[in-house]
Amino acid sequence: MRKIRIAMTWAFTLISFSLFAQTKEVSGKVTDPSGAGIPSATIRIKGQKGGTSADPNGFFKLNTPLHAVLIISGVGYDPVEVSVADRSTVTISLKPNNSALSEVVVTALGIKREKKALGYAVATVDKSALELRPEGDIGRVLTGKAPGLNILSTSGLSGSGTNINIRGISTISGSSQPLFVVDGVPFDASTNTQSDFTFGHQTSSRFLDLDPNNIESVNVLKGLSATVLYGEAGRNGVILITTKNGASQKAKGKAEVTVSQSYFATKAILPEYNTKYGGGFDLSQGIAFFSNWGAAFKNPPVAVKHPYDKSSLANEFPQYKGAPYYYKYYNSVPRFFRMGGASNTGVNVSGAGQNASYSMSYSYLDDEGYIPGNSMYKNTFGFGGSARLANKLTVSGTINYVTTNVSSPPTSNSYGNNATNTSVFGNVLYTPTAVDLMGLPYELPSDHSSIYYRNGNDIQNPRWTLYNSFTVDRVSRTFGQMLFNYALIKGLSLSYRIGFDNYTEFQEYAQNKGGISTPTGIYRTNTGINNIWDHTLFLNFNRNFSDFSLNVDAGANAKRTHYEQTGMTSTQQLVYGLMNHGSFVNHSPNSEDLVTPLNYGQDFLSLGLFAQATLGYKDWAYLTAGGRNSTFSSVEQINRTIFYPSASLSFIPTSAIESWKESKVVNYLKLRVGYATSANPPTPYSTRSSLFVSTRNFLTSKGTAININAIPPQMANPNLKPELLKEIEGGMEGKFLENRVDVDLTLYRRVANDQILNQFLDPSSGFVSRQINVGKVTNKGIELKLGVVAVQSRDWKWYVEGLYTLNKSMVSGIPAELPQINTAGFSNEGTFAKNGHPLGIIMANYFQKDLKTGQKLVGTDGNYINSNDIGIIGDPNALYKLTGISTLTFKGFTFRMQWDFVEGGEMYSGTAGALLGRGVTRDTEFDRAAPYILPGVMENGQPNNIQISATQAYYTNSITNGAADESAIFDATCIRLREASLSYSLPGKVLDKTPFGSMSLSLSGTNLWYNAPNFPKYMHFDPEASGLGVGNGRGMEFLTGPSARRYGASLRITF
Amino acid sequence: MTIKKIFTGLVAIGVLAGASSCKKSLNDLLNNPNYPGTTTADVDLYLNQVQLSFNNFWVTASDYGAQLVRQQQWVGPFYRNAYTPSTFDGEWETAYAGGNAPFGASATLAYGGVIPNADALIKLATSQKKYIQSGIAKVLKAFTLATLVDDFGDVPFSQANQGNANTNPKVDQGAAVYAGALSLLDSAITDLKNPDAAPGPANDLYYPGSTEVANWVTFAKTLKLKLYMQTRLVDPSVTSKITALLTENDLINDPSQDFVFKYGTSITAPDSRHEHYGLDYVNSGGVGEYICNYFMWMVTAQKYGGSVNLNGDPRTRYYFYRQSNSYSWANSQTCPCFVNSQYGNSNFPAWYPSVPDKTPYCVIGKGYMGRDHGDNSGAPPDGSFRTAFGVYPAAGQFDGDQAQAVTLSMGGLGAGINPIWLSSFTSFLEAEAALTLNITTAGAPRDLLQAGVQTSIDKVMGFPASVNVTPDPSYVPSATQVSNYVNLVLSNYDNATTDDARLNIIMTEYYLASWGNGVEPYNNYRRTGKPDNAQLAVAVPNPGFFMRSFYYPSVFVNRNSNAPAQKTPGDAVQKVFWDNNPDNFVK
Repeated sequence: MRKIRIAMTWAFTLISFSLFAQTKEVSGKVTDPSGAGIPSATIRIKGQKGGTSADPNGFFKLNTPLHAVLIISGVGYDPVEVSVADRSTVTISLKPNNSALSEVVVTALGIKREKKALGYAVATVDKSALELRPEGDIGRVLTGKAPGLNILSTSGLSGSGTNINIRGISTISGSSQPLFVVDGVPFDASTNTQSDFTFGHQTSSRFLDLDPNNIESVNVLKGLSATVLYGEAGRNGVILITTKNGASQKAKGKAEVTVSQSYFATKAILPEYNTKYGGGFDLSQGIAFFSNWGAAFKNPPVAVKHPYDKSSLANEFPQYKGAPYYYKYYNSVPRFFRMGGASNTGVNVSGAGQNASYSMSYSYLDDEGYIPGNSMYKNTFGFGGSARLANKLTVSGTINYVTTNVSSPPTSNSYGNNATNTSVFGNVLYTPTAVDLMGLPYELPSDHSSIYYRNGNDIQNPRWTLYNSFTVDRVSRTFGQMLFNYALIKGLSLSYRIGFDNYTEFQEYAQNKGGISTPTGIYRTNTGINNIWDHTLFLNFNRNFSDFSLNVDAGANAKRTHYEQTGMTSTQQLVYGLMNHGSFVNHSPNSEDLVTPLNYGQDFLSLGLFAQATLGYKDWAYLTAGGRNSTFSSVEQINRTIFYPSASLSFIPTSAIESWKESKVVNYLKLRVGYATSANPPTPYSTRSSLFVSTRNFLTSKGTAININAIPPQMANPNLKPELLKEIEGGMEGKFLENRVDVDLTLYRRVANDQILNQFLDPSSGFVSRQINVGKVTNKGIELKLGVVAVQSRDWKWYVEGLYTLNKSMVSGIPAELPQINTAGFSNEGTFAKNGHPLGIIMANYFQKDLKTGQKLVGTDGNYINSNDIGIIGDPNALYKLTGISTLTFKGFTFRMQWDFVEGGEMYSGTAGALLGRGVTRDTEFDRAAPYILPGVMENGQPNNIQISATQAYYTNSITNGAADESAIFDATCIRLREASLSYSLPGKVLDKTPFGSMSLSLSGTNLWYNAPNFPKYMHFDPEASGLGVGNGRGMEFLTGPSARRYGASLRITF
Repeated sequence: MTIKKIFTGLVAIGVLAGASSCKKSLNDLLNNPNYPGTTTADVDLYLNQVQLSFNNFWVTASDYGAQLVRQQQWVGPFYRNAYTPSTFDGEWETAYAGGNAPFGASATLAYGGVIPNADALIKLATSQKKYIQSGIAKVLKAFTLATLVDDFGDVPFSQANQGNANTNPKVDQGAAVYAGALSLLDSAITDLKNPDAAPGPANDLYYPGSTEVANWVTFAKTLKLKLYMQTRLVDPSVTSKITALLTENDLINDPSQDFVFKYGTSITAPDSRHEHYGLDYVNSGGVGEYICNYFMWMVTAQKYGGSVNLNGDPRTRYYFYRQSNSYSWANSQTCPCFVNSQYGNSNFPAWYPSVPDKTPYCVIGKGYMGRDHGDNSGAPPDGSFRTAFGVYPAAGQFDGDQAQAVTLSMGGLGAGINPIWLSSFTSFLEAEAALTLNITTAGAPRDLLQAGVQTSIDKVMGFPASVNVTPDPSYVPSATQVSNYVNLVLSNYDNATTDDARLNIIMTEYYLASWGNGVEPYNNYRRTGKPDNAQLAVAVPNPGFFMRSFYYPSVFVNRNSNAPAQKTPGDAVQKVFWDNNPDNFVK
C-alpha cells in the first residue's frame, strides 16, 4: 500500500508489538525488471492484517506465518503474489503497469497522489531539465518548461531579480509572485528592494538561494484547486521543490558520490553601432555632444580639439594640451563589456542502510557577469536523511545552509540623457561613436573624480561608475524541516512537520565621492532578517471498500512570518574609497530615495484547518472535495476568517469503458474539472492609522535638527478585506497511438474580486491615497502540452514537445472616479489597470492623432505633436507563448533544444527609443544629408509636407528629447533558441573496470539566439526584460541593460 | 508510552502552534509597530511640519510665478503647452495632503501638506492652550489658501480635508476662500494675543526669539493688507479696511520683521540648502537652470539705454553670478541663437520690437547668459556659461568679476532665504494703494516708492554678512552709487506724466525688489499689468493668452468626481476672482 512511508519514529519512543505465534523472519528485496530496488514497495501477508514496506533500496524484513503467501505491490507496478514456502529470503521482480495509470505526483503539502485521481493540472519538471544549466537562478531555469508559467528576468546581470507568474496576474496591487515550498516547507521568495526602480537595484529574488543542480524535481501547482490546502498563501500558484536531500533515497546499498563541474561563458548581446557618423547635431563635428547626429567619418580621420584640452583640466591632464583627438569610430561600447564566466562545482553523496538513508550535497557557484563589478558567489550545503526508528515510527529531515553574494553596479532608468540616478547602462549604451570611452581617462588624477568628454562634465563616466559604484546583496540562509510520521492503524497515519526558513540579508548601495550623481558620495547598508516557522499536523486515512476507495487528508497549519530590518544611509564621504559609515558626515535612517524607511519590522500570522477527501470508484472516477478554514492577521477581526472550499472530479474513460481498454489509438484518457477559491490578504498594518514621525527633516543654518510628526499621506481603512479569488478549470490528459502521443490540456477561468486598490485621492481630501476593495480581474487561459515520440528505435529516440500558453486578463468593476490605477512605473508613464482592458496596459504620453484619418498630427515645426495627458500606448500582454522542445537521443548522445516563441505584446523600450533618438546604431546609418518628412497629417488636414533634418526627425521626435513615450513602443514578438545542449554519457561497459559508476559530458547554452523582428534590426533588443524590477509591471524598460548569452560545458562523474 | 499519548502529544503541538495565537495576539498584529499611535502627537512637532510644508508649498508656487513673469526660464513655447496639469500636482499636494516632505526628495514622494497638519495642530493645540502655535498654524494656512486661489481660482475649502467623510470635495468660490483666509487671520491674531497661552514652540523657523508673537501678529496684519490689495479691483469695500490697517500701522515696515524662510548649509541628510543654490552650484555640468534674460536686462540694462551697466542698480552683483564676463565662448554649439543675433546686430524674431533697447534677445551683454521667454530649443552644452543665482537670496557667490565656474560649496553655502514678505514689499504695496486708491495714510506714493527701493537695496547689500560672505570691497557699490540709483528711479517717477506710468515705475521697482519671490510679482502682474514692457515670447509670434491661472492639477481633476472641468490656459483667459482686467491685458 503506497501510504506506508519510509520508516521513521520518535527518538524517545519504542513500541513493541507482540508477534504472531509460530512465525519466521523472511527477508527479501523487491526490484524492478532491471534489478534496481523499488523503495517503499508494500509487502502484505495474504489473509492477514499488517505488513511492511521496503526500504529505499527495496529491502524488507517481515515475520510471517509458515507457508504464508505475500502480496507485493508498488506504486507504478502490477502487484504479484509469492508463496514463501520454507524460504527465508526472496527476491521479487515487479513489472511496471501502464505508466499513465500509475504515475504519481507530489501535490500540496507534499502529498503523493496517483495523477489519474487529480481533478486539476500539475506540471512536473524533472531534474534532467534543471541540472547543469548555465543559469544559477532556478526561476530562469524554469523558463518555458511548464505551460502557464511566465518568467521574466529584470536584466542580463548575474544575480538580478526574476519575476515569476503563474496563470497571469490576478491582483492589481498585491503580490503576484507564487509561493515556493521546498521539501514541504514555505520558502521566502521575496525581492527585498529598498527603493524604487529609479535607483536601479538589481535586487536578487530570494529563490536565488536554491541550487538548481540540487533539485530532484519541481512540481508547479497552477490552479487554486491544486493549492487550496495552502490557503491564501497558494493563491498565485505554488512551486513545489523537492531537493535531492529531501527526496526519498533510491541509492543502492553502497554510497554513491556524484561530482559535477561546469563552466559557462556569459556574453552581453549588444546593438551594432553606427561606424559612419560621429557625435554632434545636424552633421556638425561635435565631439562634446550627447547625440550621434554629427558629421560623417573621413579617412584619414579629422583631428579635432581634445575633449580634455580645456583650462579647467590644464593641471590634471597637461598631456592633452594641444593634443589631437581623432573624430572616428572607436568601438567603445562593445569594449566596455567583458566576457563573463560561471563555474559551478557540485558534490553529492548519498547512501542508504537497512533502516536509514542519507544524502549530502555541496556546491559552489562563481559567476562573473558581463561587466566588471557584477558577480555572484553561492555556496550551498545540504543534508537530508531518514530513519526508521521502530516499527511504525519514522523520522526524516533536511537542513540546508546557503550563502549568496551578488554584486552589481546600479542600473537606474535613463532615456538616453543622463540617467535619473547612477546607472551603468543608462550612460553607456548611447555613447556617441567618436567618444573613445575606453581610451580617455575616467577619473581625475588629483582626487579620483569622474571625468568625461562633455564640456560641462555632466555625464558620469560609465567606467567611473564601474569602479566606484556598487550594490551588494549578501545572504546567509538556513532552512530545513523535520517530519515525524506514525502509522496509527491500517490506513491511518499521523504526521507532524516543523519547518523553518531563516535568512539574513545584507544589502549595500554605495558610491564614492567624485561622481556626477550624488557627488559627495553615498553609502547605504541594511540588514534584514526573515524568519518563517511553519507547523503542520497532518492526518491521512486511506482505505478501500470493495469498488470504492477513500482517501482523507486533514490537518492544521500555523505559519508565522517575521521580517525585521535595520539600516542607515550615509552621505558626504570623508575619505575617497572608504566605505564605512564612520567615514561619512551625514547619516539618515531612510534609504537613498530619502523617504523609504530602512528600519522596521513586520509580522504575519496565518492559521488554517484543512481537510480534503477523495472518493474513488473502480479506479476510473474520483471525486475530491475539501477546503481550508484560514485565519490571518492583517485584517480586522470581522474579516479575518475565510473558508476556501474546493471540489474536483476526475474521470478516466479508458478504464471505465471496456471497449476502450484495449484500444491502440486511445491508450489513456482522463477528463477533469475542478473549482476552488482563495484570497489575497492586504499587507500588514493597512487597517489602522498611525502618526508619521521623522527626525532631522531639516537642518537649520545654526545646525539645529528639525524633527516632525505629521498626518500620514495614506488614509487607513478599517474595513479592508482580502481579495477573493475563484477559479474553475477543466482539462484533458491522454496518450494516443501506442503511447507515442501525449496530450495535457487545461482551460481555466479565474476571477479575483474585491481587489485591494490603492485609490489615489484628490489631495484636497486631506490624503493622497487609501486602500479600498473594489474591482475585478478576470484571467482565462489555455495551457496545452503536446508530446510526440517522432522516432523510436533501438538506438534512436526523438521526442518533440510543444507547450502552449495563452492567458487573457480583463479588468472590470472599477468605479468611474478611478479612471486608471497605476500598477508600476510612473503615474504618467507606467503600467495601469483600466476597466475593459487587460491588466497592466501601458499608459503614457502619446502622439496626437488626426481625428479623421487616425494618422499622427504634425505641427508647424514639422514635428509630431505630443499629448498633454496620458493614454493607452501599448498592451504588454503576449497573445500567446509557445515552447518547442526537441530531445534526440542516439545511444549515449542526447541533443536537446528548447525554442520559445512569443506572439505579440507591446513593449516600451527605452533602449530602442533612446538609441534611435541618439543615432548611434546602424539603424540610423542612412544618408543623413537628405531632408525628411515625417509621415502624418498637418493640423489643416493635409498630408505633412514639412521638410526637416534627419537629426530633427529622429532626435526631436524621440523620448530622448521628451517626445511622446509612444515613440518607444514596439511589438515584442520574439523567437528564441532558449536552450540547446549536446550531452554524452559513457556506456556502462566502458566504465566497468574503472572506479566510476557513470560519466557524462555536455555542451550547452541558453539564450543562444533570438530575433524580435519588429524592433529596429541592429538594436538586437531582447524584449524579455523588465526595467520595473520585480512586481506587477511588465513591458517597460529604461535602458536598464542588455540580455546575456551563456554557453559552456559540464562534466559529471559518479563513483 | 502509548499510542494514545503520542497522539495526544502531537495534537497538543498542533494546538499550541495553531490555536495558541488567540484573538488577542492577532489583534496586536494589526498595530504598526514601526510608528506611534495618533495619540502621541506633539503640537511643536506638528508645527515644525507645518512650517516646513509651508515653505515647500511656497517654493513651488513661487517658481511657476517667477517663470511666468520672466524672472526664471519659461520654456513655452505656447501658454497652453508650457505646462501640463500634472506640473501642478506638487503644489496641490503640499497644500492639502497629509504626509511629510523631506527636503530634496523627489516630488512624487513628497506630499507633506500644510493644511491637514495645521488642522491637526490647531485642534490639539487648542485643547492644550498652546494658542501661539495654533495662531502660527492659522496664519500659514491662511496664506496657503489665498495662494491656492491666486494660482488656481476656485478651490476646495469648506469641503476640503475631511478624510473618509468626503473624498470628493467641491470647490468654493475664490472670494469665499479669501474670506475664509481673512477670518483665519483674525482668529490667528486672537490666538496669538490670548493671555492664557501656554509657552510658544521650541522652534520657530520664521520668527525665532523674543519678538516671535509680536512679529506673527504683525505678519498676520500685513497679510490682510496683501489680500485686501489683491481684491481692490473687485471689492470697493477694501479701501476702508486698508485705511484702517494703515492707520493702525502694525505692519512689516522694518527689515527685522521680514518674513523669510532661512535655509541651512547641509548638502545631504537632509539637503537643507536653498533650492536654487542646489541647482546652480555644482561641481559638474555647471548651472542647472536659466535665469530669464528679461529680468537680468531689467536689472542691468533697461534704465541705461539697453546696455549693461554694472555700476547701475546696486543689487546687480548680489542678484546674479556670471561664470564668464564675455561671450568669447559662444559658438553655434554652445549658444545657437548667439550666431543669429551676433550680439547686437540682429536676426531677431520678426515680431520683436526694435531691439536691444526695448527688449533683450539671446544675450544681454558682459557675459550675462540666460534664456529668453518661451525659448523651447534644446539645451546646448552651456552649463559652464549660464549666469547663476547670486549671493542674494540663494546664498551663492557675489559677482566680483571673478569669471570662474561655479563649484559645490561656493559662496554662502546655500544658507539663503526665501523672501516671502519683506518690508520693502509693504512699502510698494502702500505706494500702490496711495496711487490707485488714494490712501495716503502711510505717505505719498513717491515717498513710499523711495522707501521701498531703499530698504530693498539695504536688505540686499546687508545680506552677504548674514551668510558669511565678504564681497570684494572694490566691487561693493558705494553710497553714491546707491543714491544715484534711488535718484534715477525718483526722477523717472517725477518725469512720468500719467498715473499709469507712475504705477509702472512703482510696480517695476517692486518687481526688481522681489527677486527670489515669484508669488508676489505674478499676482502684481495680473492685477496691475506692470512692468509694462515684459519680454515677448521668443519662439512663436502668438503664444496664446497669458496664463492668468494655472491648470487644475491632474491629481485634482482626475481623482475628484466633483472637480470642475479642466481649464484651458492659453486658449481661454481664465482669470481668478480678483482679476477683472481685460483679456489681452498682459502677454
